[in-house]
Amino acid sequence: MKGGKFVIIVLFFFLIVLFLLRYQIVSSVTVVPADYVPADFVTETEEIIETPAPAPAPTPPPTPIPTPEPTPDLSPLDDEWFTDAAFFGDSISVTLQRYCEQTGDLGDALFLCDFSYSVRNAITDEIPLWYQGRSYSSRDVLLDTGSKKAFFMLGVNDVALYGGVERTMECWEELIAGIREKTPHVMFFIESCFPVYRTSEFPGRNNDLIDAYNELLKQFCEDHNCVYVDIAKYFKDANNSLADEYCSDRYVHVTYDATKIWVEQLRNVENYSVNPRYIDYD
Amino acid sequence: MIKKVAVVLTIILCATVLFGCGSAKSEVNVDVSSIYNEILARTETPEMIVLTEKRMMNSYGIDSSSCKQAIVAVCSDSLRTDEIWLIEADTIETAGKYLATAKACIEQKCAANENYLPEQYAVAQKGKTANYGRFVALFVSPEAERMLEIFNSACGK
Repeated sequence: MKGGKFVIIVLFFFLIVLFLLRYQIVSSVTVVPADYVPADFVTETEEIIETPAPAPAPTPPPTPIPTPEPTPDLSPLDDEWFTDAAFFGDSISVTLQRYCEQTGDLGDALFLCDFSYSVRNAITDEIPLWYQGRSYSSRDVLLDTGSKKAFFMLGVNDVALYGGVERTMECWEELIAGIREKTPHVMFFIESCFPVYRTSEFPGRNNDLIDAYNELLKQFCEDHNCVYVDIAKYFKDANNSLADEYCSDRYVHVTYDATKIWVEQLRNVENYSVNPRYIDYD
Repeated sequence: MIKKVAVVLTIILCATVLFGCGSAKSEVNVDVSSIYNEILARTETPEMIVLTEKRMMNSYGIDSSSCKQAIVAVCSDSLRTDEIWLIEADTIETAGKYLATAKACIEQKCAANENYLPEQYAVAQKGKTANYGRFVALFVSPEAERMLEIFNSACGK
């Protein structure tokens, strides 16, 4: 019996050792295929091929971060911007003039406005412009004023009284060319004409005609390097007429409340066909 | 005795002539603000806007530095041609220049209104100007005549 126990114990330890050895053997031996040739194995008949060390992977160039498009400045134009502006206009713009004289709005902007002024009068000088106590033609006045921005709201008188839309556009060609000949640096800002009060419409001057005229003005500005300023849309009622609350005389003239809006929208660069902040005035 | 009387009379006559001439040449000396306020109080005047120095210069070439005092007022109603000027210039020559400007202003108003606003044309046609020494006045108003009377009265004319 003692011999049998001794054998069992021996066998047990033998099994443990085997187990341990097997584990180590397995972990330390890699099974290779029969035809495996080590990389550094060289026969006498073979050239030594030096395998260059693989080049380190190149560092990828930095990815350029795209420069963001500058956000256009859409902030309202302040009084300072209007310092070298001149406003040409008829009796409708005289309201703007009076409003600004009373409130100080638009800073030192110059007003060259008079009753019954028109594109036609501007080229014939039937009604001269008045600046510093002297009469001027439209072509000469900006030489003395030094203005760099010339705003115009004209045409309501022309369309009704002086030959209609087609003739008025011919007059615009002549007017702009005449002023540019003397003062080529001046930038022109042509405002859309206000609608008229519904009961004052007649075949020679109605709101459909004024809309058509304004569209032609817009195209004229594109073709002649002028800036179109769309102001009229703020004063229309549902019938495309001058709204009751903005009309002072059931005709074509506007109230001070309307003029306040007018001034606000002159400051709004989004009404301009070209952002006026990005025009070179020199 | 007769000679003494003659001498005394001559002295009295010369003194009278000298003082008389002095009185005839005495200048107008009035406050334009007071005249303006009186005009507003005593006539039917619409709401007026008194122009700033800058706008006086831009519109009419009236340089405030060449004026001892100046009020240039326009009607706030853009469809009315009413206007009032009351200016004391620094010199008689400057006053003459502003008088010419005032007359040209009335002509401009007539030209602008003749075929446009007949009522305003009629008002502009009756516009008045006045000049006493360094003082110049312009009145374009349906009551221009009355305004001129007030001005003349203030100036002792």
